[in-house]
Amino acid sequence: MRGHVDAESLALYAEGELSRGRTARVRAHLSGCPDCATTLAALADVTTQLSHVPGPAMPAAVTARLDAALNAEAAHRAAAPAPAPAPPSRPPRRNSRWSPAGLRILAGTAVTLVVAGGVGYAVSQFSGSPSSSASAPSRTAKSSAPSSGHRIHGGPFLSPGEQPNTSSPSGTAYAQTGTDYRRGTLAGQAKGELALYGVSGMSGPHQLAPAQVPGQVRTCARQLAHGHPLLFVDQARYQQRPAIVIVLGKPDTAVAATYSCAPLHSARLPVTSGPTTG
Amino acid sequence: MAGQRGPALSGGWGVPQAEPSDAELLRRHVTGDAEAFGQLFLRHRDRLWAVALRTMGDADEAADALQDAMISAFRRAADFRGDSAVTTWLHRIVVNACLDRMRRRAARPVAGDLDLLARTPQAAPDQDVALDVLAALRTLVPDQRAALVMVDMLGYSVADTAEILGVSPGTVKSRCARGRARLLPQLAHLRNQPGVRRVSPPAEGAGEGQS
Repeated sequence: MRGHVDAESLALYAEGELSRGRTARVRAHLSGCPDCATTLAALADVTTQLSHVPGPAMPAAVTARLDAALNAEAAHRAAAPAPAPAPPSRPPRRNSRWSPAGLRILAGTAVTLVVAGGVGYAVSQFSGSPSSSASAPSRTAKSSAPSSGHRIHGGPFLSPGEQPNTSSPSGTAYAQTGTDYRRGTLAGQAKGELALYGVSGMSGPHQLAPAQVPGQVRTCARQLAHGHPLLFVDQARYQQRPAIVIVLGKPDTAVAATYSCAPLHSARLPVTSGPTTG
Repeated sequence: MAGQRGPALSGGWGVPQAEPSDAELLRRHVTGDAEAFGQLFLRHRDRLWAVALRTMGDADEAADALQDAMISAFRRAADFRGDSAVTTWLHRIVVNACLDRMRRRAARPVAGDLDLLARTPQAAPDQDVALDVLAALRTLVPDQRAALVMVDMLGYSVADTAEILGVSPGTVKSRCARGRARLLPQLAHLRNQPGVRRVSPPAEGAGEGQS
């Protein structure tokens, strides 16, 4: 063999991917050519170099995003007729492995959750259009008349004999505040609303009974919560667009989603002093 | 698969005996269990993420591809026929989503992976080397890159990689070989640098596969 063997041929030779004849010629050449032997060794080093690149752990933001996307997908599936009987309600599990895992990673700092467009999970089978359900004042007194007649939400405010017509867990407060939550302040705003609506014995001016909340909103909230305590569901706005904002417990986390249940952003609520569950 | 330093696709994945198998989780998902798919994904997500990130070379693109793939898997679970391991099936969907994206987009410089790596704590001593390696990897065509990422970088066997990519083992070997040859001049300056640990001298019989 004249000259040297090119690197590609040497690499194919090393993999046993050359023809028998070429393999013999390369082998013969290598025995007398230190340069090509060095190149062959260098090719093996490429493998070594590649194998030494540190393996990446999935970043928390990606985990949260994927969790949210799959939760939304699950919500979509739950809303559609299922091919098989779907479980009516899932008992909250101590070690629920899905969104809690992602949401738990949100602990500590607020994590930006950006859901890119173009992924086909967005659903829009809601009966009411987003704008009508979020901005129409028809369902609730817009700014006055604090808690007039709407003091029922989850368990604590149920009158005797009154059944919640929803499978949401007791203790969930519903409201339609119309608040324009912003990306940078989602957690703080949610904390403020939660303080107004989510505490037993208190109810803000835009409180809703569960029956007043569209079923799709409740379904979406439940799916986004995915077994976490659902503390608060607000029909509101996010970055000036109609949105559902929910607050989950353990850890307290705010999640903004579109009315088609596509998650937009999620942030851990600031922890106040005093014991909190985690 | 003996002697493979990388993951085994079939078998345990370190899953305790009491845990349902991958196939069982997928079956539960198909029959309406709302948590099963999440469990399945949680079990494999770091590895799937590594495949997506290293194949795409960009964290945002990788996240997009992985999300596409997982939603696709979520929806198509009923189509899984059990003629391969569930993990192989998941990997295949992820790799295909990555390759689809790479083919769709024009070659353009990206920096996300570098940025991400720079924040990887364990990257400290070898970081510069790793950055160079990742930059070089991006110059490969997608098919070569996917094969090389799986076999050399992440340690999948040639057989598993072939099944995931849907090509013959020989094709995987030749894609890897061509990829290595192409990387060689770009990585030559890294040889014998302090950050590069040379694990072993080249094999005596060069026809042997690389470790």
